[in-house]
Amino acid sequence: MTEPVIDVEHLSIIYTVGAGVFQAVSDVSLKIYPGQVVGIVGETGCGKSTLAQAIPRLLPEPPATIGAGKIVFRGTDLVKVSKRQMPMIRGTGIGMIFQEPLNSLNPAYRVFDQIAESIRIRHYRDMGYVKTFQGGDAPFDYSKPAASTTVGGSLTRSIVPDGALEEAARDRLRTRSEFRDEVLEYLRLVRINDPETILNLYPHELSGGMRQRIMIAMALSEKPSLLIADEPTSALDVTIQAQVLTLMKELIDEVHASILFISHDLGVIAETADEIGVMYAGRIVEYGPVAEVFRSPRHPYTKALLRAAPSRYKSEGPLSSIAGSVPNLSRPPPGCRFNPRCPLVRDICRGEHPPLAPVDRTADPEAPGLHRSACYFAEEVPGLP
Amino acid sequence: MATVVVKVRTDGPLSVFWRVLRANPLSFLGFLMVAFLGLTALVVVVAPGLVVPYGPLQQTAARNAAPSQQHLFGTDNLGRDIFSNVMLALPLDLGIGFAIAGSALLIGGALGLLAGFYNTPGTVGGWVSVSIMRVTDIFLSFPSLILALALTRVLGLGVGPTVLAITITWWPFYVRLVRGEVLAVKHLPYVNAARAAGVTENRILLRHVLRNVLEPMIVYFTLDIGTVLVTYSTIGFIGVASKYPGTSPEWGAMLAFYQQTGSTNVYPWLVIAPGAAIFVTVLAFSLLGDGLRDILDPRTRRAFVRGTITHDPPPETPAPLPIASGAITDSNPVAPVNVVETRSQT
Repeated sequence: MTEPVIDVEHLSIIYTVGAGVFQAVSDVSLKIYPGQVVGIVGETGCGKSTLAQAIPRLLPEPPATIGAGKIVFRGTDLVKVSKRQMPMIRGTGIGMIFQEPLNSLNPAYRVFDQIAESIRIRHYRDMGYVKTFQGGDAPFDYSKPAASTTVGGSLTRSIVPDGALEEAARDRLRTRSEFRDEVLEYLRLVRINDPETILNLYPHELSGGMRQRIMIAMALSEKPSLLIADEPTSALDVTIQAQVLTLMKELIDEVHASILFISHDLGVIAETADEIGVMYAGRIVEYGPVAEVFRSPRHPYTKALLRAAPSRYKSEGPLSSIAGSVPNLSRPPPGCRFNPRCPLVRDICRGEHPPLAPVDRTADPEAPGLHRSACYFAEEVPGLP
Repeated sequence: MATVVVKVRTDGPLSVFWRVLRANPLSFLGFLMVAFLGLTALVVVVAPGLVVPYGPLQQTAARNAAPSQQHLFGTDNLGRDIFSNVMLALPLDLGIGFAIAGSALLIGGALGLLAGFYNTPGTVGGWVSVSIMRVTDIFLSFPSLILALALTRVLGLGVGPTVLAITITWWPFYVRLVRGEVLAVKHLPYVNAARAAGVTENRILLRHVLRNVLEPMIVYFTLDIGTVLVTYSTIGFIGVASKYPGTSPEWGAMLAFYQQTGSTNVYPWLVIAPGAAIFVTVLAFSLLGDGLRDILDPRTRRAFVRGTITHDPPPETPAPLPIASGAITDSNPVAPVNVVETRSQT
């Protein structure tokens, strides 16, 4: 069995703000295998962005602290990696696309310089011009391509090709114009028309959709083994959203990278992800293959969330909503965090938080790709309205 | 298929600089004035014979003469030529302005960058940051002119000690300015995006943060040269900075000397000339500062250049709107229009 690219184990993240302590993420476990796209869905404040930023250790610490758990990325526990070494893993190891395309590009530099910087980072690391990551249990080789990234176009070619060492001497002399070709290649990859002109423009001269494409090109140009997309389409209007989403879907097929896709939009996740995790109040309450979770949700929250999606709005009158409100994470309710709003609630739900157990009780609990639900009464969920 | 030829002029930095200045007459004037002052100062240093008709202490037959062709700004009671002294003071005063504002920019800017960027409480950087800011507060709590005057008493009289004294009081303003800008910039998404791309903290500071705080820094610097000159001249006026009359005259000291010894109500040119020199220099740098802001900001800079995009030649028959022909799709939004681009380097 292949090793997961990223293996998050029982991760808990706490924000200390003033006197209050907020459990933004509690006991989250997640595995992403090479070439897999995992979607995380949940409402605002459920901890999905915190999770996304915690994996490459981008959370400001303090106020955030990783209370417990491991983030094992290709054999190295990122929780134990020092602040000095983390930048060596970011970018080429774990890439990231943010939700604010309008502000995520430096306004002072042209598109060319921004993408060239990413390419230069990868290039320098590949050629050993800069210090690379040392430490961890096993020697960490960020440039080792993931197992499945062997086919396809420019992004997936072997990262250190044959004869690279002879080329290295020549590559040291790479100039602006030689970087240009590679920058153009990535601009074309994200379907930018007329890349030769775009190259010389400043971010403020581009539309939101264009800027997000540039962001995607920058992240991809470092050839990360894990790409984290934190609501990449949320800040865009609907038509541009559709275009960027189409692009992301096409790229997922081309790139074969492992992707963690964060969104509050069920439709976006349904279209892009292989597996989906539903988060509520800092916990993953349901996890499984996308089709299965959407066809027969096994957690009351997922069921309610799907019912509240406006896809059948016209035929069924008013849009349904979930009664009650999201719990205050500084004092979460005891037991299952959904219990104050749950139609199936019984006494046991107010005791221990139910484990994220396979829905099929006979299955091997360690097997990947199982449909899991953190509900004591998962069998009763299909019977709910 | 319609062909639209769009000519985009890709300009060199000099050309952009020129165009922004031309579009903004006042800063163009400032630029001209600064260039003129700089060139004149250079000539005074290299070949004083060309622009300085008399020596600084040379006494001529005309005493208390009004401005004339022989003495453009008149003479004083010993027949010394005011014009020559004003011209001789130009390189010194410009140099003083650049030296003080420049050192303050470098010292204060570097400290401000450090204090703003590495300010996480509980780390070494946090302690350094707090220390820098408290020292800055201590300096700022004194009126800078009084502090500079007190320092000149300790450091001694003359140009060098006075420059040093003003510099010591001057850098805290830059720390405050730069730190504030850094604090605003460092939390913007693009800084975090750079971090996510694997850029190291030091490089983020030097490439991503510094570039975006450079604009207020440079603008403040050019405006500040004027303020520095006025401060220096004030200290010169009190009489502790430069000796006048002497071999290296200075405008503030000239003003002070004639205000005390000359009959300025009868011979006003004695003070008008050095005063006007200070005024013109301060004005020149202030005007230039405005233009520099426009040049440093890519948004306004491009706004000036955009006017030069020409559509050439116009299509003979209007192209059908692509949307009307139904040819636009997600993957191919501008399919029917073939955009051919030519570039001309100007």
